[in-house]
Amino acid sequence: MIVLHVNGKERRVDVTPDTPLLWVLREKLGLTGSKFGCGEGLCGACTVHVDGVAQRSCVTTVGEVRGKKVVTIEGIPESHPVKKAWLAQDVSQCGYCQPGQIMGAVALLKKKPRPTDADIDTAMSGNLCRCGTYGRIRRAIHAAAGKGGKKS
Amino acid sequence: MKGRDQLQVVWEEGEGAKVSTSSMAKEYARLAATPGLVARKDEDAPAVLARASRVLEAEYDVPYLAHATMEPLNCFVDLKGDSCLIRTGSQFQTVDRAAAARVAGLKPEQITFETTFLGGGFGRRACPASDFVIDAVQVAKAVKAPVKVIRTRDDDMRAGFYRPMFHDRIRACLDGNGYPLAWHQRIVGQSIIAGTPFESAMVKNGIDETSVEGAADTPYAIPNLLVELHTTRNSVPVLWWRSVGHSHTAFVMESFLDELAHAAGKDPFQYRRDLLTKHPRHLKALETAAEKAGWGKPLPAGRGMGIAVHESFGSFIAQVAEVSLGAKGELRIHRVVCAIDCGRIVNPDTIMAQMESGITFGLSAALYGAITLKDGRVQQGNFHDYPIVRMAAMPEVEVHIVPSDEPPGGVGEPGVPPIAPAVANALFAVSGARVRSLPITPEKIAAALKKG
Repeated sequence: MIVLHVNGKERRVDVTPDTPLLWVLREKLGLTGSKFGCGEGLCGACTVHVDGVAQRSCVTTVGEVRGKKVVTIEGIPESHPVKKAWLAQDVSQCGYCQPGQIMGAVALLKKKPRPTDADIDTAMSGNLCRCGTYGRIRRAIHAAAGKGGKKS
Repeated sequence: MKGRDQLQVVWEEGEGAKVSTSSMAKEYARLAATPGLVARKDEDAPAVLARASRVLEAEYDVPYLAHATMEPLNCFVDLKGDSCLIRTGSQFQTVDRAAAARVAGLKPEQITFETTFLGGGFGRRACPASDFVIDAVQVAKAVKAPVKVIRTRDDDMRAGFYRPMFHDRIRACLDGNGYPLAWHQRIVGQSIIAGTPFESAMVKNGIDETSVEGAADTPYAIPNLLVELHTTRNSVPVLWWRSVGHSHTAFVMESFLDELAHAAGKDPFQYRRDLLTKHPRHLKALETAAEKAGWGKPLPAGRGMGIAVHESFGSFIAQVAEVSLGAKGELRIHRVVCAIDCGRIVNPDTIMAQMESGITFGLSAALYGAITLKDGRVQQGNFHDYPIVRMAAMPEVEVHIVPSDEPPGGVGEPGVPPIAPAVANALFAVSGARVRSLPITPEKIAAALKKG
């Protein structure tokens, strides 16, 4: 039995420690907001926070996150400035990559409350979007950072 | 995954065992030198070319492309004796349900087909073969329990179906004023419609209309025009991919027309204006994009602009790409200005979002995407060897909507075709390097620069 801390709650799962966190979140805990996109940490669709740091849950084992705080997209409140900015900018198209994008943006803004475009490039280039919402993601991050969508 | 790793499989490699991109490329080039089926014939291009003192000739290549939707193919099936529940993302419910019924031994009415939200389709989830649905039904039959089949990204990328590889050969000559007098084009590639239920409607006299759309119906005023098609057959599974035939014909048409403009010593925007006088909607889109992009105004040092205009799915789109070429051959796209006439509009933000989307999708194909084959096997399997545009490479995109009272045209696909030629034309403008095959890689740019 492995004890995890997910979205502020203690959860117990009966899996081997080498099980990828993504599958535990989705199939054992019913948290299906984190998505499977590539299985190799190349696309970012599975992004969660581990102790506040954005991490790809498809290449993270549950063993690695024992005793750590895991936050998924479900753990980000609807009132969070990032989620509100996402809606205001109409960012999402198909939506599949967006939970990972939002997790990346939230982690970035925690580290850098007023990120530059270069900061956004660095932090967000691991989150792929096949629908091409990058421009709106960038505007939403600036808006959430309190810049009203203006470029830095 | 652990169970799958334990499987020992002996594959019967079949007719595709030796298929390779290099052997197909050789065969396609060989075919392009021979007459094909006529898709468009105005006057007598070969005769005029035979008399011409100067003939311009070029060959263009585009590779197989994967749809690479963010959500890999998947399907849930709960199969019972006299009923079946299927839950999946699909663009083709009627076809998929009929296929499932066939495989399950049920009537279509006995199948409940629930469509989920879909993590990207771009045509992949409208597969006449219903492959990902049939797979899941067959598994459900075997295990006799509800089952969800999910493809790994590797499986998703290596198993097709792809936008086909195409090879084009064009020969043209100019009149005394520098405008195209004769244009003879041969298009070589697979038919995506042959062997599907759509064949009788969309393949006429042996010509798959999707193989030549955007070329055979070019709006440019070219008095002697001959477009021929060679339809090839091989074991690579092919399918429509966002903007279908326009995804390759626009690159060829708008690049070669640009080459003619430069050969005539004329500005590529003006050249197109002069050839589109009878096509006001193409003209208006073209002029809007050029004006908003500041075409003709001085640019920062090291930057160049390229333009392309293309009609597809009832909409008229022009794009201007502003690029620079770094010291190490890195091509950077700074800005794309897009003008769209899609007829009567309802939601302008949706139009803008779809232009941003189509441009990004097309840019991935212009710069990175290529599915290649060797010894019957696809050589790409994930986003490290089939890259797509990332945040850091994304240009600024401006979209201008041309007001119109015409019937509504599409917006989901038409943003894709013009970006590759706009970028290729901008690359030429900034460096003199003409790259005639996609993706535009640093190696191809270096080779084109050497050729001068």
